[in-house]
Amino acid sequence: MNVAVGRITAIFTLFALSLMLAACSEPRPELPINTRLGGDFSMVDQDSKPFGPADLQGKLSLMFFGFTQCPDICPATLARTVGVWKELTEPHREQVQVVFVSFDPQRDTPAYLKEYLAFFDPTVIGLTGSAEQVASMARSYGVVYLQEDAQPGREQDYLFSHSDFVYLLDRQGRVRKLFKSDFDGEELINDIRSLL
Amino acid sequence: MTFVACFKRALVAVALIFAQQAYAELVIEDAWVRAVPPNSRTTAAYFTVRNTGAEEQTIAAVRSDSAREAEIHDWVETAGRKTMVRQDQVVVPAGGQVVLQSGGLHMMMFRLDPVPSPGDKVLICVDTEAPAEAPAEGEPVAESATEVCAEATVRNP
Ligand SMILES: [Cu+2]
Repeated sequence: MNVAVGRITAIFTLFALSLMLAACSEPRPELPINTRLGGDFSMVDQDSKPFGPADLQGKLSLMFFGFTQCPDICPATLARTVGVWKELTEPHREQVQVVFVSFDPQRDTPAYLKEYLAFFDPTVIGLTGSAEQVASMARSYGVVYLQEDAQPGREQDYLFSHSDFVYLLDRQGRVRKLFKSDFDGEELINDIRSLL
Repeated sequence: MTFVACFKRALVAVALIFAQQAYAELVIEDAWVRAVPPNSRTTAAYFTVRNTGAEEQTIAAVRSDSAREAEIHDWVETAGRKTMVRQDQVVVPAGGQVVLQSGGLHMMMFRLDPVPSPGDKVLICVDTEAPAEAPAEGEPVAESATEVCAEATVRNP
């Protein structure tokens, strides 16, 4: 075997080996892009400013749909989601935002959301809008919600039945993964890191 | 008072003593209330109700000194939607227990007044007897003889 061929074989072998090693160390396949969910929407944030898909660009988003009068699953999910966000290093935290979308615009006004969400963290973004805007955004994210009948004389205590997924969005605002509200915190953190 | 009337009265008194013993067999343990933002109108309380007696007990009402209305709810999932459904009765089996916890059975507290802060103690009560008639708005609920109460700590989960 001449020297040149030997060298080429060695280089090729090293190259092949490095490819295989890279494949071995790959922690998981890349999160697929969910093309069925998401899209255009027009809402209002907790400061009464218009908020659209362009405002989701540049950061990862942890998005959750609910209503503030929900006493059990919604605050628990919000607290756990913010908890995961707080576990990130500070440079990572700056690249991830938590977004709470209310489908109860009648009670969840921007001012109300601002005060409510500050309890969890002042950086949490709260979105609301007209009934039509909320319905349209929920539809594009595949969120189902329904206002339940309140008991007679207690109309102000109405509740919603609703789906309760947490959405992980990438820097382009594309849906990359859905988590159940009782998600595993470790799994969520790993998926966030894979997109950073 | 005739002998019969006196005897009847004695029977009622004895029955009441037994009734009180029956309700006293319910014990509330590990009670806590979810800390919520100060502008919240609702929250939930969680606890375990243990029945130390030999007879099944049925919780027919709940109340708290911090909420105008309280109910026991459970989560039901239908067609991808989760709904809270009011439970008019919750049976605590003899020698058994019922656990109220996040994502399952919980005591829903409506119209918090005042909204409790983390660290506060809140009174929660379960009653084996439904209130005869709902009190007027703002009226305190009268204490019932079949009621068991406990202090719940307000905290983050
Ligand atoms: Cu409830």
